[in-house]
Amino acid sequence: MSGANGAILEIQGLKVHFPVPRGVVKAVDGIDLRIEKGETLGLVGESGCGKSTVARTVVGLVKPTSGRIVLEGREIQDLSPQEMRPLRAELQMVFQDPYASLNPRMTVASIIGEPLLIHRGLRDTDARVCELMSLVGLDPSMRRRYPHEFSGGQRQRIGLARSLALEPDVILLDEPVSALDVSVQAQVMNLLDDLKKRLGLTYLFIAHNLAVVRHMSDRVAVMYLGRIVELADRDTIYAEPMHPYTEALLSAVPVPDPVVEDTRERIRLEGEIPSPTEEIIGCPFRARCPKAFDRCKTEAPKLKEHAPGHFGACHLPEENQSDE
Amino acid sequence: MTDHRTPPHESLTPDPADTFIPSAEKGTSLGADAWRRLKKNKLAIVGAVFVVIMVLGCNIEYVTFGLIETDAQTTNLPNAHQPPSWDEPFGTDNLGRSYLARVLEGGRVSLMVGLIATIVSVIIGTFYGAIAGYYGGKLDEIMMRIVDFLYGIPYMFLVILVMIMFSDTARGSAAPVFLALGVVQWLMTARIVRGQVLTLRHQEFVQAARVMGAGDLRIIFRHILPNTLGVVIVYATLTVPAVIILESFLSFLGLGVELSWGLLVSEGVGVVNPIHSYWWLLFFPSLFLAITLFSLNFFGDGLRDAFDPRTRK
Amino acid sequence: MTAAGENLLQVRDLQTRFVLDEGTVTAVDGVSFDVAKGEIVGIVGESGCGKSVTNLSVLGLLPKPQGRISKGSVLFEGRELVGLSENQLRQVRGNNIAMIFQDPMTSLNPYLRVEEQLAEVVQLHLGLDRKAAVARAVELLRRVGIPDAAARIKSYPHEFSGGMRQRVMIAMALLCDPELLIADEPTTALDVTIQAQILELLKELRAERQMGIILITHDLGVVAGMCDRVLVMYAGRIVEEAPTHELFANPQHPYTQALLKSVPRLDEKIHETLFSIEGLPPRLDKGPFTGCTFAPRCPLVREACHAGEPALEDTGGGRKRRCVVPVEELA
Repeated sequence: MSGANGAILEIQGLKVHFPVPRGVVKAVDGIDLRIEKGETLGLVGESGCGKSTVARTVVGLVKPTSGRIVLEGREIQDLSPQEMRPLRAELQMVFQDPYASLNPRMTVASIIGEPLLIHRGLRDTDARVCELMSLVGLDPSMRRRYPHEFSGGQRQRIGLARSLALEPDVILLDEPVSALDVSVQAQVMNLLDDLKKRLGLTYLFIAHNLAVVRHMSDRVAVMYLGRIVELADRDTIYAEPMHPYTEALLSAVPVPDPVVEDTRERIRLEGEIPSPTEEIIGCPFRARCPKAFDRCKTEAPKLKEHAPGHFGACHLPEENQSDE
Repeated sequence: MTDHRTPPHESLTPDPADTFIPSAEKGTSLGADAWRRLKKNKLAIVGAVFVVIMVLGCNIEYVTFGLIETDAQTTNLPNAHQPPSWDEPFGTDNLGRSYLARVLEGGRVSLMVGLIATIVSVIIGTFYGAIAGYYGGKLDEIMMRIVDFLYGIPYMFLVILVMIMFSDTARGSAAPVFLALGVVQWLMTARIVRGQVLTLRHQEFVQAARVMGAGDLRIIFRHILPNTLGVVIVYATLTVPAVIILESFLSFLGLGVELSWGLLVSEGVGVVNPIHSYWWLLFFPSLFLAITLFSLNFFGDGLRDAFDPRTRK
Repeated sequence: MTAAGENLLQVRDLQTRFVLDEGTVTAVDGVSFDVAKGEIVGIVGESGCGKSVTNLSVLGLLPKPQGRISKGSVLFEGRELVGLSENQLRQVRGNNIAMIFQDPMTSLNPYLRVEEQLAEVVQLHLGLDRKAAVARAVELLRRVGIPDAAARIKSYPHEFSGGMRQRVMIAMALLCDPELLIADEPTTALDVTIQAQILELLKELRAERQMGIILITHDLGVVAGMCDRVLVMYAGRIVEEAPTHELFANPQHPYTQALLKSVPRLDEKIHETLFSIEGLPPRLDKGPFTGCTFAPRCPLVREACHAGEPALEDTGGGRKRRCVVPVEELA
């Protein structure tokens, strides 16, 4: 159903609940996302909002509680590891921590070559490894070295080369630059952009840094407590955020310019994200929302299209309309 | 579904003929790194050298090369209880056997027991611990309760049980001792490896392997076990002396093999008394045993420091 | 300097070395700066640039025995801190200089209730009795914005969220009314909305207590909103120092310029490609270096850069820079 209308990856009604001693953590609580071929969808939110769980569930590291994940027209959420294996070539993931995501006992050549060995049974991967290393801007003559001999940015390139080895169509990038220094972060972001253009990739770009997400994405989804609270194309969401949480998030990001900083009005959010085990009635953001009103206490807002392509989960627009 | 793959990833389709493979410089592995650190640890190197000397020294065929006239079993009753001299550097025992030959022969057995029991315990323990830790859940629960249970039984009881089971067929031979000691020692290895695997299992590189489609066996053998190697090697080095002591203790109780340092020490203790002091019968095997234990421990400690990630920047 | 008055801290020509297996690493070299009362000084730079080591040196908290101050002086209110005994330094750290870290868990004992940890500090340093000490702790917890402080003080550290834990840390740092607070990446582990709260709190405390603050961070946005003056560090050296507004408006070192350009900003048009600095910072264990340490990555590099290390020159208006390229060419 989805292959025809251009969505390469579709997530429908995805819920991921983890039982814990004191209840249930609803890490992801019913989200829908469509990623079109060739686009970059940014997924932002604060720690614990469930954005990483979404990625982990899509690649099969975590079992969904309910919902469907459709990759290129095939439902993949119930596939066994064996059935999933051929599809892995199309769907890859890059991890956040450039130090933890590479096996310290393997050379770079065997790390990058491993997917080829697993999927294509290739023994001699040297030529391809060299090619992949050049592709991500690494010197192929360093392929016999071990990960600890590389810097953070270089390691992230190695992880990227590994994920590209099987020529995937979709790459899930889970905070790919947040562990990197500013100057290196820019290098890796440019590389990601460049690879996307050259190889026709589709990205799900997960990050907590709104400026980074803005730079990378075509459309942006904002998550709060396991739900998507706003989704729109990049320019709309940054210029005219509809949800009070998005507004607050944007106003909290420090801008590297003292002139701007001195004159800026910040929306101060009181309190912190509620504990994920808490049973929430009404809008999950209600407790911290500066604009909350009675209806928010009783009724959880659904994600609705308020303007073409601009989705939001908030009662406010309707409230404002009825006022007029 | 339309074939979305038709526009191939252009630069990703390599033409083998064009691909230039540059030569690669070799990297330093974590093992090489540890080795570099180990080399700086004088005490550990001295320990290692002593261990090597002991192993080589005990395994040379002295009699064949004519370095010692008689082997460890040849008796010469008129020559009994000779103190150390030029001819018999370590003296002779109550049956006039060359004590030098006996100490070396005993060392060969002691070291062998230590080595083989350690290997047995490391192999069993590593696999057991890896499986329990990797699969987790119920299986882990059951497997580790078994370990706890075995741990609860006094180890001497276990060892004696095994020894008695084999007593008819193989009294005095080394095989049941290896088995008995290995059976006791693997428990700790299993616990250590399981703990390591539990943390490694959640590491991003293991998840990355899963995302690329690696199977369980590949993940265990290629990604998890190599990363426990450092800890296992260190633990094994420290197990060898522990096993040697255990074996000596068994010999002391009369349950050991027919000839080992432990047995010699126990015999030596028996003949040291105020009336005639055959001190060499106690001194030489004790000295050799002590040097070996110290050396192994120093070497093991050095290895641990070299592999310990906390000392790494 | 800035509007603020007397000098609190004077660091002069500080050099810190680490003796490691691989050789000696000079992590901080020739660093000099002042912090005045009520002033927030930012130290920015990428990981490994020496910003944290500089402050560990000031506090005498270098890892022993590898790290030591090999040269220079640290004057706190006119008193030399380099060479003080561990005991004397502990006095200074308890009463005059406090520090908060990126991860508050590293400085809180997970097995003790917050009450115990805070009251102990007060009893030890201010000589108050237990009851007065607890009262003071509660008062400070309330001040840093912990709701229901009198009850919450009975909790263990892990029962607080990340942001609340950082507040507890700040309260702990304030117990003895320090004149100087060193904050090492205090908000890096926190979410933006929480970060905004904590930074706001630090600003308020500065105004209220005339405390000097050294804010170590890699986030230029945090610097822009918080600091009066900024030091930019690269490879163990200060490469530029300036009042915050001037630094951002008109950076005088190619590294500062590049750094500012390579951060994606929310308030700017999106560029196709982000400006990026090619290459990597030098590895300090490969030193000592001849010439400018930034030269291999510098877009404006020239002959003179390799000749010798440029001196930190005073360019007027409280500004300093370590670069041979004329200021006019940088624009």
